[in-house]
Amino acid sequence: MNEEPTPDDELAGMLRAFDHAHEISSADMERLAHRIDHGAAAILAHRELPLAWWEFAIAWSRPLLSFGATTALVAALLLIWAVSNRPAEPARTSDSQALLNTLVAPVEYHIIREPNE
Amino acid sequence: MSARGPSARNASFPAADDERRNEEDLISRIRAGDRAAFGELIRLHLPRAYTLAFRVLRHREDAEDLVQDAALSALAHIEAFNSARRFWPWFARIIVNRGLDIAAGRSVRSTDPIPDEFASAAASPAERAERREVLDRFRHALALLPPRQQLVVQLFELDGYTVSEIADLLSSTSTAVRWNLHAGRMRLREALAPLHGGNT
Repeated sequence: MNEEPTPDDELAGMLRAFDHAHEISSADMERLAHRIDHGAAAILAHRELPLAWWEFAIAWSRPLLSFGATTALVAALLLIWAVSNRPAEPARTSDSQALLNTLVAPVEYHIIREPNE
Repeated sequence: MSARGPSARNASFPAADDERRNEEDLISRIRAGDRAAFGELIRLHLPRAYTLAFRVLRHREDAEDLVQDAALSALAHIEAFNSARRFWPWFARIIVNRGLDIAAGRSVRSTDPIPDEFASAAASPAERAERREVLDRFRHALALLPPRQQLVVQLFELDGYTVSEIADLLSSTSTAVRWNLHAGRMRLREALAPLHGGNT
């Protein structure tokens, strides 16, 4: 069953008589080749070719620069807003008043304690 | 060495290794957008591509359209092609698959004229008339074969393809190819039976 069938010479002869596959001229074959060439031009024109690494970097440089500049601007605006909205600090005591407070504090202690002695 | 198959058919082709390297180079250039390389690759295979397309559709203009359609489809999908393999079997399968789809969807064409030399081989006018009738039956039997059977019989008997090569071309099995070959031969031999004194 797995043997290769034997060719049928009579059948082949009859088939060959009706076979017109080889009746195409070389000029017609070349014309067909030109038709295919013409169709190929349109397909090849639309092919997206793989990028080299430098082409990839160039292609992405513009959008990345724009993104970086925008990020920096937003950060600057946020910083300005944060600074302008910082809460006010309490009033600072002068140095002389601080010295006076240091001297008076022990005196007040004795005044309070002495009435009982 | 078998009298059939690629060795017998390709005896005049360049060495297999050189041809493969040339093909790999052409396909690399095609993938880089080289239009001339595609033209060169197609011209290498155009004669047998047309013959195969004609075997499927048995009409010259249809065969030309099929070859063009299949070639451009191969170009559009060239990235999917494994360049370690030979281009022709892949290209041939595209032709056969598309061609069989077309053949299945159209009515039977029977435009082949009866060859004069066969009818004229008979000695007397009566015999010539009888011979022409038999040839006409054969032509119709051939046209009425299912497209796949018609293709299998022609590839085997006319082009020397082996059963396994035909199976690969049709993405089928050797068993299915043998069956189609047997069934097609039977129908065609029935048409030729009167030449051997059989019933008409």
